[in-house]
Amino acid sequence: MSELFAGHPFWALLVAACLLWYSTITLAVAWRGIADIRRMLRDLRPPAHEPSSKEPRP
Amino acid sequence: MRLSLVDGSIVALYLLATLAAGLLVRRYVSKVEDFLVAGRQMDVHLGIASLAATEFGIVTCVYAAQNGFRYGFAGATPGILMALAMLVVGYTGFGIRPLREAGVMTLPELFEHRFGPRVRWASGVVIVLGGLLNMGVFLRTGGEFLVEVAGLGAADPGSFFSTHRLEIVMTVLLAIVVLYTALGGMLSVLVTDFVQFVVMSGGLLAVSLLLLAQVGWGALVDAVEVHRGAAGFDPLAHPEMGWPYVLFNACLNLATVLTWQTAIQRVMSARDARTGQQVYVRSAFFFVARFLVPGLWGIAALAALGPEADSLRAMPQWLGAFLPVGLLGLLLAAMLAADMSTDSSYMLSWASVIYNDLLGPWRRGWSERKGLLWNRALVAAIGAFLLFYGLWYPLKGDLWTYLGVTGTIYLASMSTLLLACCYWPRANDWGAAAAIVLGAAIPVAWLVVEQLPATGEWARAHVGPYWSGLAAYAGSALGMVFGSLVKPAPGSVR
Repeated sequence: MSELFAGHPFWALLVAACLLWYSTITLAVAWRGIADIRRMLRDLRPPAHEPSSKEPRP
Repeated sequence: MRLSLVDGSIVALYLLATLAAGLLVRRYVSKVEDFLVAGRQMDVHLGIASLAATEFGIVTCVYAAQNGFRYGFAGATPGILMALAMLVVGYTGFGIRPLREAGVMTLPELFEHRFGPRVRWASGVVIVLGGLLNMGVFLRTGGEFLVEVAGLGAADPGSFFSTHRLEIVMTVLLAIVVLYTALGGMLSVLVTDFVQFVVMSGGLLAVSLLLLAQVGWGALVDAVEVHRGAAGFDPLAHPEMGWPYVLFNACLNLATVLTWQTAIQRVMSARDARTGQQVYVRSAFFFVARFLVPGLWGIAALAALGPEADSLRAMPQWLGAFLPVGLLGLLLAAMLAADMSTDSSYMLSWASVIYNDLLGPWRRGWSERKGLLWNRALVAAIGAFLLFYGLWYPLKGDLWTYLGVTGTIYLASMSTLLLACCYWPRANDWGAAAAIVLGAAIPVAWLVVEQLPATGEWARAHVGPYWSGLAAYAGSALGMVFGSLVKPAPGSVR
């Protein structure tokens, strides 16, 4: 780690922050994205009686 | 062939999972609105996955690595500028909040409310022209990367597969993407983007951590210091970059965040404006990673192969030799994921503008079924265009600059129109028309002048892509102001 920050600390910090942030957001999105997909598909499921696909768009 | 059975199995498993996910959700598509903006039911985490997966394709990986190879760490400057633009626009809602609240599906649809149907149509033409030219190089770049990294056809040089391996890879890749995008539209894109984001991120992180562990930070810094000097750490000190590069990229990235159809389609698919803003804020830092992570790979290729290597092919060549069995398969799956998510979103975006805005005058009274059929046909037609354009267009020079210049054809005028439409009451259709013409004419003129043998050298030496790009943004804004002021205000005509 000390070698990482020895040369050009701005870029070293940015690289370290990138990898840390990217790992965290990947885990968060992988976990909560599934719930988002379920909710989206539930809300999009059309009622059985609704003939929505035949109606013209205004 | 470098690809082992383990690597091939990982890739095949990923392809099957994506195709299944994309096809399973097609039954939820019953209206054009479901097809184009997923019924506006997208939440924050799915939005982050989709935006990140869309805006990171193999082409992104290749140009960001090329930037790392050519400019060192300074090559990540566009990513930092884009992250800043995403943060500012996401926090303030500048431009995107009124866009989402208008309830439109495309930018030109919003412009019609303010500037009339002709401006809507002209905006659609500019968006599709700039977007398709920009996207035209994606497929070839992706195919070349996959062929290079996997070493496809290398074992049997004279065979049919070896001779046509690029065309075969491009066609198979495109056929899978067209199939699920045409059937499921934005819903398939969002669901497959989620799978692709997870696979892509796993691969990117694993390769980068292995690189830092095996090559080491010191070796990367040394390679930049030796081959690029101080300019490799400071964009302003670089002779090919400097202020024009930074300013052009600042304009380009702000305009991208505000108006690039694939980005704002996530805002318009969001449940509400606040969700769209949160997607922007929370994915902002991804855009630093989008340049810096492949940039590290490019720097590693510079360290291993030296500055004389081909800047476009150095990174895939180095990766193919560097990665062990298993990780190569994961990287290939990650890159396939990145490429497929980008291609599907881009095809859907341009198809949505063609359907919603260019076909607008002729599709009144169409049923939802007919609308869906047309949208699916448009996605397939764009796929066919990509295949043929990708096969014959020879890419030369700096890939990011090509994408920036072709993107500017639409970004310069559309960002001007959006800001004027939302925030300048005096703006009118004359100003919009002038902004569209100037915003497109300047980058097109640059592309033509740069390609002509008689003028190419002079144009590159005295004008360059950054000044011509800046001129497009300035010209478009001036056109809007001048055109709007020249037209008499409605109340002043007796």
